[in-house]
Amino acid sequence: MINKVVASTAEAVADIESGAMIAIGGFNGVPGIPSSLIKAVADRSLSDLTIISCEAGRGKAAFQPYRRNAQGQKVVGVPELEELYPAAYLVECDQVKKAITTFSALNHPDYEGPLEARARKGEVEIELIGQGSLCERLRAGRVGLGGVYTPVGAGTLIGKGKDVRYFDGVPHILETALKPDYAIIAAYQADRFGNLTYRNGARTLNPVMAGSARVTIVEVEEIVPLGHLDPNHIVTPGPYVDRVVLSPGGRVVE
Amino acid sequence: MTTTVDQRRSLSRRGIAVRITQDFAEGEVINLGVGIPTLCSFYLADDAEVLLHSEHGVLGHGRHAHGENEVDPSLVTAGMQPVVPRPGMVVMDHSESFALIRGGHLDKTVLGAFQVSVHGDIANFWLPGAPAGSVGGAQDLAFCAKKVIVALQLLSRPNRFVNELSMEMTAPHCVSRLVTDIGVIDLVDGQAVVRELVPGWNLDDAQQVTEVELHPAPDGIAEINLPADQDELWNAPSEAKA
Repeated sequence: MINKVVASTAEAVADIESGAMIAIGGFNGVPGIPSSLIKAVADRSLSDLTIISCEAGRGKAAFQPYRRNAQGQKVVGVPELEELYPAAYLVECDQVKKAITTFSALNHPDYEGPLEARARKGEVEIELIGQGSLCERLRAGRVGLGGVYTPVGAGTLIGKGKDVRYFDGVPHILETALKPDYAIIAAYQADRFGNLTYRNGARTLNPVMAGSARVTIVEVEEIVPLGHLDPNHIVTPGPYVDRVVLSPGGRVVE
Repeated sequence: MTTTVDQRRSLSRRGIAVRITQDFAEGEVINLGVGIPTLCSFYLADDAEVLLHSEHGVLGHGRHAHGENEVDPSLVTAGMQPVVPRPGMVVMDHSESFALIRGGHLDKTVLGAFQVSVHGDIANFWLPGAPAGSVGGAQDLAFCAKKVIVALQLLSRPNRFVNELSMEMTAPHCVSRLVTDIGVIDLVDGQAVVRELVPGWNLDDAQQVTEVELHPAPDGIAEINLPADQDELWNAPSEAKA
């Protein structure tokens, strides 16, 4: 019998060791950040991690404003937003030696985020890359490609040192596949096979990272019985997923 | 007639945004960057069939959500404003979302910038002297959208529109229109062509706020067409520093 459901976030991340490369799903302040898995990793007090994350520039405190909506009202009903741990929380806990990310700085003349502050002191290495290229590097890892050539970034700092080839006269740079040790992601529903669905804008990088890593761990709002998910609506097929755990405040549908 | 700069009004951030929306056409797929570009979405008619694209993977969302009953935290723009769904909306993952961008399926993107050159080069991801930068989706958008419009406040900061970038370039030769606080400037074959100016400004005045040589549009310079009595669209003369 296939059953990928594990009992706790602590159990789900118990074998992650120092020095591991971890892809972390989500975008910015939207749901889709695997907040409780990030917290569980932080609780292991690891070191020398390489994190891959769309956003790694803003620490935990910076995410709190997004608990309020545009009208200044508190956004309710989202457990993970009550206490949100972003990828940069691992940076704030000084567990990260390298971040591969699209947002590493606040780009503000007066304020510095946790990642740029550590980069300034030489404590953390940053590999900055655009979102589209980050996606394709992870996708290449998942689908068994060595890399992709993209026009985006050619002739800029981000293309520096990368192989250049011309297609239809346009310079393209080689972006190599990313194959992390672990991917920690968030989804809406899972069954025990690890099939996943997502909700609205929370999909983000999660389905892209699923299966890119040796081990993919997902936290979900609902664990549903096998057969509950419409095969036409499953976004991430089970074979990309290794472990499923319920988010705090989530529910098991009988 | 000679007037000094501080006697004239200029467009506010919202004024720039409203002027940009005048360039949007029904049926277009448009991505709005963070900052002034985000403000454009507040000035689109609810029933306008302009498909706004949020790069984390939402296309064609509805108006901004009002009140707790309407807010769904899983449905926000890339700038984190809650929005409501609307018929025809589609969600997708990040990779698909950027395939849409990189594949040339976006009609327009509106970006903010630290600096733009007369050649259409844009810098908006790395501040001078910073130990790190944030490129986000800007590079994909700038390289691949069919038309790149930049919202640029020329009066509030110096050296924003220049002959050659002094900051790290996000993308080369991509910007075709600047909508600024003093008017609309098109970048055509390495030349800055002034299409519209705020009432009270002339080409000589505009020339004082940039090192780039400005040329009048062949068919003349129009007055920018925004309601003069909507205060939120305008900066008072004292607020405009040249």
